[in-house]
This record gives sequence, structure tokens and C-alpha cells, in this order.
Amino acid sequence: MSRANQLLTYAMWLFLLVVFLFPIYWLVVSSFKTEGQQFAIPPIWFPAPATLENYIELFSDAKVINSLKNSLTIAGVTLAAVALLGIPAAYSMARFRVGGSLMMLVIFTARLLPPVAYIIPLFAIARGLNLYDKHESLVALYTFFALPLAIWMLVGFISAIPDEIEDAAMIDGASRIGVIWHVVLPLIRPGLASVTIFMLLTSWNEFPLAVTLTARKARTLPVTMYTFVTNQNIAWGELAAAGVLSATPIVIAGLLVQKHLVMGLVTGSGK
Amino acid sequence: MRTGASPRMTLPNVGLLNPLHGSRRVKVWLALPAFVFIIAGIIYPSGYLLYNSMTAWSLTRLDLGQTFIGLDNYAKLLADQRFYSSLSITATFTIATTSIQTVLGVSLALLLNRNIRGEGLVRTLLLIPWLTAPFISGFNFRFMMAPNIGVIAQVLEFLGFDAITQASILGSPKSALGAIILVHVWNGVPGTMLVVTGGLKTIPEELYLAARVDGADRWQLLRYITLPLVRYAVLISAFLTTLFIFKAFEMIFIMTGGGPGDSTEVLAVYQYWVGIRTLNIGYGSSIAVVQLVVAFIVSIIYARLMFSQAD
Repeated sequence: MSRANQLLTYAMWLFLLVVFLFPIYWLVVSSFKTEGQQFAIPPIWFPAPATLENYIELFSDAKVINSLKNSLTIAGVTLAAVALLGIPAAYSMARFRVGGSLMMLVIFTARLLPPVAYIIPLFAIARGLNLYDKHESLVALYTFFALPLAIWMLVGFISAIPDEIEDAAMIDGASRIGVIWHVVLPLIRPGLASVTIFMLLTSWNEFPLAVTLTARKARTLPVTMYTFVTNQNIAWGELAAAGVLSATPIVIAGLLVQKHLVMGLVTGSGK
Repeated sequence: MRTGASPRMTLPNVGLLNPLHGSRRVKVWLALPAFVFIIAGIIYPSGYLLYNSMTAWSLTRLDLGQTFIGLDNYAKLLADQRFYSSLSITATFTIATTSIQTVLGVSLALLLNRNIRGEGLVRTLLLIPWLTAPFISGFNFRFMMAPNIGVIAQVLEFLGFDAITQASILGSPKSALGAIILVHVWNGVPGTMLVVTGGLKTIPEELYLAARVDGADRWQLLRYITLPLVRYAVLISAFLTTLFIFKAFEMIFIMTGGGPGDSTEVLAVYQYWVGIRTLNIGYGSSIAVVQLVVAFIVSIIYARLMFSQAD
């Protein structure tokens, strides 16, 4: 490639980065501005000195702390539930073809169902069974919507382990559960890491179900952020700070498992 | 994946311990809880949704209870102007977003497939919008698109587009849907880029070398090698985008709530409005059923596409 050509490419890349990353940049700098600076004319491109008042405000708000706790609990319990249900199922499907291709198709399709279309029946069910505004409801739903993807990815990882390794362990007297715990899981550790991140993504970022099914008690962070907006006076700085806090761990985790993202996205086409 | 001829054949027969002869019960029990959970999770809410859609049931009139009315809600849908409007907005929104995102995503993937320094870094940075949760981006764009004083309005004004600034981007029916489409493209493009890049990486370098030896120029390489070979990846990502965009809810909900008027009211927002905000469970359910049926048809086509390729 000629030098001029190369420079042109770099110029185009720079342009792309500016266009695509400006909104993210704006979110981050807004979180370090005072309320008075948010809509200054002309805009303040870089706040100096940066203020931490939005973050301080956020952490002194009991509602925010409560919803942060809710989000963490719900994401954690969902992860455990998915592991408990998903790992044995994936093992059984990968090793013994239990369920066959029909179940694989069901799982694949379940992953594609739009949660939004289920808001109304779930709302009605939650009200009827006294499950409205309960952590358990969200855990059950997130487990349901996360499980198909988890199983799909895990089947791929487990199938890649040669049977002989397990056979050897079983001749040595290990039980089936023992083999899964001591042989299979350690071998698919990198795969487990990316499944974990996808599961966290599902529950941590979920909005439509949470906004429909929770009120004061079980409200998650995204829903609490939404309540900032519905007030007459929108606390943009605080909202931006909450956005930065909520997005940072996910973005970092996502970038770490980059090579598995495509697989999660198309649900196992690379297999 | 598993082939017949393997060292397993030489294993001593250790009965239950041998994976080949392992107890059928154990195998099934490992999978059963998850299967039951998934199948029950599909059937129960779907069945309940379908049943509700055939009833008159409003939570604002609890005294009337829930009464079975057959297909009346669907008959009402066929005469509902707002339903037709949301169907057509959903179609415009889905088709426009998917086409723009696919063309842009493929272009970006090609532009970033040059084997020069920094390529990986740029691709990684471009993933950030995609990894940022839609509800956060929804707030962020609503903030940036604030009329007159928002940063986008100020930049537009600086560039001389005063008319748009004064009317406000999200506050005018003319520009709101366009803005919503662009924000979804911004959010989704990295995903398309990622899938297409995956396709590009599977094309063997030798093909290009051979074609160059035969005197092909850059456009011919693109036209006759690259594009035909990434066709499948592009198709997959276009289907995925269609599915995602068809069910898109939160960014619209947060940015415009379906307005102004009903200019950005897609099916997902309309059914939320009817079912949750005005608590008309029966009628809202019939809209959700329509949404589900369309999503299901697209999903089945997509699943068949994926499975046929996997075999």
C-alpha cells in the first residue's frame, strides 16, 4: 500500500472513531460537569476543573444504593441459576445427544423470542401470583432468557473436549458429576468466562421487563435511572454518572472476551 | 463431531461407568430441569398471552373481570388506525435501520481489513457503542438532542442548519423517526462489522494472490472474491439485525416514548402503551400476539438458515 493511501486510510479511521465515540465521550465528560455546565452555550467540550459532585450525589442517594444492590443480587443469583441448570443440560446434550436436534432448535428459537412481547402476560401473571416487585420474578425471567444462549455456547465448548479424557477419569472411579466438576469445568474455563459475561450482560442491562415488573422494592439500576428522567427536573449530570458506572464494567468485560462476541451474537454459527 | 472409530472401542466394559453405556436415567436427569424450565417458560406465558388476547380484560375495570370474547380483539385491531400506523412505522423503522446498518457495517468491515497497524485497536474501540447498554444510550442521545441547548443542536446551528435546531430533533414528527433510526444504527453497526469481519477472516489469502497474478484490479477482487464469499455472513447479520430491530423498545421508549404524536410508535411501544399504561390487558395482548407471530416467522427462517449451514 502506498504511503498516501495509508494516510488516507488513517484519516478515514480517525473520522469514524470521532463520529462513533463522540456520544460516549460526551456521556463521560457530562458526568464530570456541574448542572450549570450541562447546557452551557457554547458547549463545554472539556470541563476543567472536573467535578465529582454527580458521583458523590449518586452514592449518597439511598434509592440508587438500593437498586445497585438489587441489580448485583439479581445478576448474581441469575448467574448461579443458569450455571446450575445449564451446565448439566449442556453436558448431557453434548455428550449423549439427549434432546437431539429438536431440542437444539427449540433452544435456538427460545433465544430469539422477543421479551417485549411477553411484558403483558408476565405483568398479569406477576400481579395474579403476587410476584410483582419481587426479586425472584426477575431472576426467574432472566434465567429463562439467558439459559438458551448459555446452553448453546456450553454445548459447543464441551463438544470440543475429547471423550477419552473423561473415560480415563471414569475408569479411575469418578462419578458423572465428579467428571463434570473436576474434568470438564476446568477444561472449559475460558469458555465459562465468556458465558458468564453474556449472562451478566443479559441481566445487568435489561430494561423492559424490569421497568414493567418492579416498583420501589426490587427496582434495578436501569429503572432507577429512568425515574430520574420522569421528574420535572432532570438531573442530567447524575444520570450521566450512573450511566458511566453501569456501562464501564460491561464494556471492559465485553472487550476482554471479544473473540467470543460473534459467537454469542449469532448464537453459535461458528460451530 | 463424534466419530464411530475411536479408542473407546478398546475400553474394557465397565458397565455404568462407561460413557457409551452410561445409565440412560442419569443422562436424561442432567438435562431435564433445564428442558422443563425452557419449555414451560415458552408455553405458559405464550398460552396465557394467546388466551388473554381472546378476552376482554381491563385492570382499570376490575369489577368487569375477564370475559372470553373470541376474536373480537383481532377484529378491533383490523379497524384500528393507530395499529396500522404502528405497523407501518415498525416496517419503515426495521427496513431502514437494517439496510443502513448492513451497508455501513460491511463498509466498515472492509475498511478495517487492510492488514495495517492499528487495525485491531480501531476495531476494538468501535465496539464500545455496541457494548454500551441501549437504555444508557437512549438517555444519552435524548440529552444530546435536547432542543436548542443540546450539544447536537448547537453543532447543527454552528453549521448553519437553524431550521432543524429550532424545531427540535426529537420534538418534530418529521425528524424524530430519522433520529431514532440513526441512533439504532450507531448502536448496532459494530455488531454487523464484527460478524462480517469474522467472514472476511475466513477467506484464504491465496485466492487474492492468484487473482492478482491473473491481473485482477481491486474492484474485481472485491466484486468476484470478497463479496461472494462474505455473502453468508452478511445474510446472517442482516437477519439478526431485523430480529433485534423489530423488537427494539427501550431506546424509543426512553427517547420519545413513541411520540411526538405517534410518529415513532412501533408495535413494541404501542402494545406496552395499551397493555401496561392503560392496563387494557386483553387488547394489548392481541397486539403482542401479532408481534410475536411476526418475530417467530423471521426466527424460524433464520434458524433454518443457520442449521442448514451447520450441517
